[in-house]
Amino acid sequence: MSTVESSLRWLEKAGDRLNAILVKETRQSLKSRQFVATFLLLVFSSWVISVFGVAMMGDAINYGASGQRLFVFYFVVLMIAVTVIVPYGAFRSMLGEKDQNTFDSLRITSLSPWQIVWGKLMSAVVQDFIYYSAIAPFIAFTSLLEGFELPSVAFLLLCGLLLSVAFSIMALMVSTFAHQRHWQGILSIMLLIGLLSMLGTTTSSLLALFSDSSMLQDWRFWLGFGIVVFLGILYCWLFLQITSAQLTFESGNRSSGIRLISTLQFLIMNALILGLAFWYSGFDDEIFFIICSLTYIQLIAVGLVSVTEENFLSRRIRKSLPSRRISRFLLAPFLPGGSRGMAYLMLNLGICYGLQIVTILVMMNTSTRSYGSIDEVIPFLTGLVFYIIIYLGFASAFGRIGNGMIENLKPNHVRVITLLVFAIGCIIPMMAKALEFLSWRRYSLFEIINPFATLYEISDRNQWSDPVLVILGIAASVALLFNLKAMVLSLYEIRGFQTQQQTETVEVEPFQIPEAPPASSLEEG
Amino acid sequence: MIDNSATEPIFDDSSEENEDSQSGTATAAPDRSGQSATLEVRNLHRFFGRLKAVNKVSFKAYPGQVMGFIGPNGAGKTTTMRILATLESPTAGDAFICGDSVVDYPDRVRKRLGFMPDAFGKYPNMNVVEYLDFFARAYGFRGQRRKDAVEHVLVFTELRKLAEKPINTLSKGMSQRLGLGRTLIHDPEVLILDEPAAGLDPRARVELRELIHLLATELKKTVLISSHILTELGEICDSAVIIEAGEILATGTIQDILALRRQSKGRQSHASIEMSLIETGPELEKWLVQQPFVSDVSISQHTASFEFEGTQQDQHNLLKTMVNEGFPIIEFRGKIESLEDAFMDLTRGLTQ
Repeated sequence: MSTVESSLRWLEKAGDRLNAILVKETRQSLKSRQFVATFLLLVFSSWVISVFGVAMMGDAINYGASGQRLFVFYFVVLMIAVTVIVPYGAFRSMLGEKDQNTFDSLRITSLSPWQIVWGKLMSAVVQDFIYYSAIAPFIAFTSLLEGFELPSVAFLLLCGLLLSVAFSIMALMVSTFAHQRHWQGILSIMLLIGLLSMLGTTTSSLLALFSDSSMLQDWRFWLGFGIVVFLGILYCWLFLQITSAQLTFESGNRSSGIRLISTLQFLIMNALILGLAFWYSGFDDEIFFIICSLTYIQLIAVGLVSVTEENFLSRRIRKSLPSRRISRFLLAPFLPGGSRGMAYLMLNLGICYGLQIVTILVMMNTSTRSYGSIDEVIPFLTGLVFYIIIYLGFASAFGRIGNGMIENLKPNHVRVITLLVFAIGCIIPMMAKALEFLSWRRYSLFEIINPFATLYEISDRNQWSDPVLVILGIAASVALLFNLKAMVLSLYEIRGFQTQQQTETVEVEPFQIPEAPPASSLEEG
Repeated sequence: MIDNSATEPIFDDSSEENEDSQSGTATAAPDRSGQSATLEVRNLHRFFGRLKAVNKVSFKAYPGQVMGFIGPNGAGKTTTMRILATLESPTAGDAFICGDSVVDYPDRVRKRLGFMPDAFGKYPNMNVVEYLDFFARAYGFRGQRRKDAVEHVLVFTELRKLAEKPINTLSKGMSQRLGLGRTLIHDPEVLILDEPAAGLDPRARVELRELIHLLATELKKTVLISSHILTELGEICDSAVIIEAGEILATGTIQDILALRRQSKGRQSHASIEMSLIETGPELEKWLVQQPFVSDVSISQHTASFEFEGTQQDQHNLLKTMVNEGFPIIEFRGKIESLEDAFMDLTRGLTQ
């Protein structure tokens, strides 16, 4: 067998193993008008840039940084294609599965939600590479001119590719939230506006970096870049998990993946700042605050979704539980359900708060810099943690108790009500101040319902700082007490599922479906 | 072939005993010919809030059986089919495809089940062979096996000549063939077809009917098919499930269902008679209602129909008397009972 034949056979085998969605999407997209138009426009505009660029520069092309100037134009054109058109195409592709009624056919194949998401993403990456290859001859042309620096150009092109992948992941995630047609329209417009604004921001930032290539020589720049890319990868992973969860059947496990990845993120991010604080004396406290903000924002978002879920575990999930009791017990906080969500929240608050306090102590002891305000961070963080427990604890209790009392109370209703209560809590004290019932200059205890004003008061270590912390601590304890029994029961019940399902043939949750007949009566017929 | 127990109350203990609940599989009791049910719906419930979309639905189907799933709009047909296709979960109860629970083992079920939804979607920028190739890949087929599967489907659905044609340019009939082909690509044992004949012209309907007939008789597939075209279902199906407002009204062979209809009308042995006459008049109606065994007389310009509860000899005597009386009869025949008649009689037009 000749080398050509064996290579072809090997290629065929490799092609066989490719993700089915990737093959389908690539076939479709390469035939689509959108792709052909974008490709031709990209080539045509690059050609126009080359012709006009050379004509405008005239003899000056041999002097100065003409290669760099021309590259900037090519790069902007490329960025439009890879950070706007490709992600928007990925968004439309996922929406198209629902619009064209192909999604059900897809879901009953052997493809998992992860394979569907990866296939769509990889197809976007393939398109990126095609657009890159389209512009490659023009970039090669600039390399012949003065001012062309390969490391800077390579860095910019790599950033463009990473941004395109990240935007495509976000676009895919957004597409899974558009269930109704009117939402599809609204989200399409919002995404397009978001992509265009991010195109402006990211391209101008990258070009600013490009103009000052000396930064690429600084190792601290690469440290920062590494951290940003690392955090980006973590968030992309989370977004992919959310997308996959959205495509998972309602009776499947949509929650555990997101909970596990988030916990891993909290651990990694907080361990990262602790490590930096420990090993790097020049560690900037701004990074600490950025990481803290990111972790708490994410924890609030994931926590709100988790604590308000219905406690019911479907048979599909119960079937997938590990057989060993200890494994089941360890997995319990990561399983779907509001009460288990509350346990999950407490676990993660413990991780974040604990690691951050240790980081602060390390920073105070090791850094040569003076952290005048860092000791104020501990009360601030404590207050923040209390607020999270209060809001999410009461949301969890309301969802659980309200489910049995209010007909058709869905988790989303509880989430919206919680956010409304939070917003009202912030607005009312401000209105009271605007109407001069309260003084703008002094903090009033009434403002305790406004977390922003209260946390500001706490971090300033003012007169009300300690009493407010005590009140918040009591309120958080009450919120926790409201959920304690349900939390313990929800963790404990996982233990019994393995034996329970052996005799179970019919599943009915009367608290969920008021008129559903109890299982026993169905069994008896 | 047909499981008569399907018409019986659903909660039989024997099926519960057969269930291997630890593994989530059920071994259906074999029927008289020794075959096990490839499709079993057991005590299925699906509630949306207070709406009982599917309520206590149970039936079984066996290899080579074409079962019609009949009901008015909103009866719960599509919901039941979607549960069988693992696209939705039941509120209570279960369904089994080749013994595997759709709730516990959806992945196993999907490998053995082909589902053709009523709204069959088509991908743009894709031709017939690419479409089938994609689904073969999606079911994990590789290499020669994938090529063979695509080729087999192209031949079976007679789409070979259209292999390179973009699918969004196919006619409705050809699209339905392609949809059926996609459903068959992984050679499933059970096929669930939701309104496959909707919108097809008469020729395409006949061709589709022949394909389904082939699937059941030659390839021994179990086919559950829903349709509003009952005359067609009557010809294609050997059994049927009639459902209304989420509940089963009748299940069994078509003959069983027609017998049930007769029972529901309170007639054990009767015939519906139709006559064609050169002309009719009030005297004919007056005369007929006075005859023994005759009831429910209905007269129009050139036809008359009535129910007759006598024997065939009594029928003969009636006809003879009518001719002797001088009524201008052209035709005298027993009316053929159809699935449509049974459907109209058994259902009450309830909607949810």
